[in-house]
Amino acid sequence: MSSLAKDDQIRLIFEDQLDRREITLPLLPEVAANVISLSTSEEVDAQQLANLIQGDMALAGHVMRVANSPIYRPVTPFVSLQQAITRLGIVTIGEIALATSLNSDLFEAPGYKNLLRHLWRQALFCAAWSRQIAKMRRTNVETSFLAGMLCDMGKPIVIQAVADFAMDEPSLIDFAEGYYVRAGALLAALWQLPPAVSEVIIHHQHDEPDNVHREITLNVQAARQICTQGLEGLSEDLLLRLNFYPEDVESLRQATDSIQDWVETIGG
Amino acid sequence: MIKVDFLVIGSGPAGQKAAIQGAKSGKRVCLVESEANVGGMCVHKGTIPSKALRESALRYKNAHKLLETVRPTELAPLMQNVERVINAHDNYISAQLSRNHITCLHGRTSFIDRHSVNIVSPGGKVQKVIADTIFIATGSLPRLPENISIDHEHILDSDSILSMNYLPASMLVLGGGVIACEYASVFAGLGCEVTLVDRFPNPLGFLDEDLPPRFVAEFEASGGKFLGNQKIESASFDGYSEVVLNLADGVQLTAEKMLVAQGRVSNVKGLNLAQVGVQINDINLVQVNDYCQTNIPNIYAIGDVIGPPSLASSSMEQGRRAACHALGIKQDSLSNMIPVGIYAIPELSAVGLTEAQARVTHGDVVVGYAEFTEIARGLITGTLNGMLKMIADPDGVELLGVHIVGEGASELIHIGQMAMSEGIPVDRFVEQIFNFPTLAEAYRVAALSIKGQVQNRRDAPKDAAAGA
Repeated sequence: MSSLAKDDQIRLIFEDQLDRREITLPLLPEVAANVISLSTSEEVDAQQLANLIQGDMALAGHVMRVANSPIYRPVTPFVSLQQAITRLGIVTIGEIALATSLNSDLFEAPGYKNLLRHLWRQALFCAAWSRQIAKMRRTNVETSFLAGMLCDMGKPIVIQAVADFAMDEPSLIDFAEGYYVRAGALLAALWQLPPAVSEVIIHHQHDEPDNVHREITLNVQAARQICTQGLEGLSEDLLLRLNFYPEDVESLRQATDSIQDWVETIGG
Repeated sequence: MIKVDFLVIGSGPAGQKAAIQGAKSGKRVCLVESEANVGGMCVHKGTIPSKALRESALRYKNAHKLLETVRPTELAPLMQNVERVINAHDNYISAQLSRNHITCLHGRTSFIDRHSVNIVSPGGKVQKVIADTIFIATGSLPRLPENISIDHEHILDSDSILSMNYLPASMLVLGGGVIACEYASVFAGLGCEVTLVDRFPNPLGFLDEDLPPRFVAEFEASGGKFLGNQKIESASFDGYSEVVLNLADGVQLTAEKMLVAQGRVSNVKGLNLAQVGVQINDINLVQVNDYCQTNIPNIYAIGDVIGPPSLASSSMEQGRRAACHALGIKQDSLSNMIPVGIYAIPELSAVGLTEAQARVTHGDVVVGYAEFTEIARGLITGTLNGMLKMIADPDGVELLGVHIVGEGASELIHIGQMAMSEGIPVDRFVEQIFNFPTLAEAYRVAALSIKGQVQNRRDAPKDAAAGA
């Protein structure tokens, strides 16, 4: 079977799976579900989230490691999760927990572990940049962070679905690029993500997004461009839509180190 | 490089009117806007979005009176109309500018000299514009108090408050001005537990003394709480789930979100006004004369950038008048009959002198009230908390001020405004036949009250003499 024929065959099989919604989607970890609700609704009990984190030894350990890292600059090391929550706040702890629970280990793709890890780091960068941009534009910060983190979540799903075909990495990345939005939309439905986040997953590739949550979509589009091409890669068109001037880009540049530190700390 | 007759910096209400006045007089006009769309903060972050939310709050409040409706939790559905209204308004303004052949540029402006500016686009491209006359209409920004860190997530200002996804269960609103009272009452109307905190004893202190207590009464009847005479020590997010406000008297208040609305400051940053010597006062307002002309004769400043009254209506008039002055068009003196409209729940509006001001200038003035409970339309619509107050000179002839609280106040005020600007005596309100039932009838009731009081004053000496 030629390479082209093999790719076509994979495509046919995968599209059929997508159409019949038979691809394997990871379940939303309870902690992540709680954090998502925490950031978008008033109805969530913060104490419940704290209890959930405490109930998961591995997660609690990671949260403690991150909370004690230089990025959060504790005067004296935190000795308990409760102390970390009290000092850093449930929102920060929630972010750490979200990033920890939604990591590359959610996916099974033998042979592509490094690729999945890379994608996960990209997602963290995207989340952090989205949050930074949202603050500067006076748009919703929490939703931008979540949407930034989850907008490319379809890629590991596609990679997991076709991992058995042992494609070479560049081909697999190309393949995932072609399908990740559809896969992401399925995930958004399964996880019952907030409408704004689902919309960003579906619309973030549009040059001129005109969805209800257009401003959040623009934040994530800019964050993705920064992640892939750097600040210099921000297109003039997007700068116009964001209404970002050279001094705004400079403000983003000044945030680069803290974002890098945050990702290193959270992503490990 | 572009050469024009008029350069207008800012496309809010003031800038639009200056630009259009210039274009209609045959001038080549260039309008620069630093935001992505024309219209200014009024359209995109202020007047229009907040009024749209107010309409939703009124609908919810009215529905809740009839049915035990569930409190809305998502903000987006309540703002659904906003996008449509903004787009329609945006299209209308853009079409108007285009129809008048006004060149529109997108960028930030900085002065090079008295006649030329650089305009930097979001992408960083620089364009030079030379103009005979320049109008600064760059508006205002929320004032950021030094002791409060606004993060736009938990502690928000009036530019970011509508970015919230969900209506919080509780909110602290700092300030007692128009913006603070409008948002506080609207969020209270939506079922949010709102505490309004201000340093003055009453909110909206610039209004006639009878109006603020009415506002507070209805606000508190909606579940809100007003705390006056408060000094704020600090405000911060506790990192857990609440914002914490520490007052100087040791009281600590908490809520899910906080809105800081402690005034606005003029937006002159980056204009490089020092370069051309335009005078700015110690609170950063551009100094102008009666024609909105700065100390540099070919440079005018209009709208919020010159300070109060900072209303869209007055800004439009300033823009038009400044352009007329630059064009050498003769104008009547600026009307001091600018009405104030406050789109809180309840709505408030005023024109002319307050009672306190009138007593200073005219002595023993006569005051007539009309409670909406006495007006058939008020009873029908359930607008029972409304009131119209007329202030007349001691003879009960000249109308000096009108103050209204209650739904429709900002529309109803214009009858008083026209009467005052045309010098129509108070008696004419008694003689006129108004539609029945309407709230306008309140004018007649208040005028009758004034007439009765004047008659009593005239009769009093006779009665005293007869008694003696």
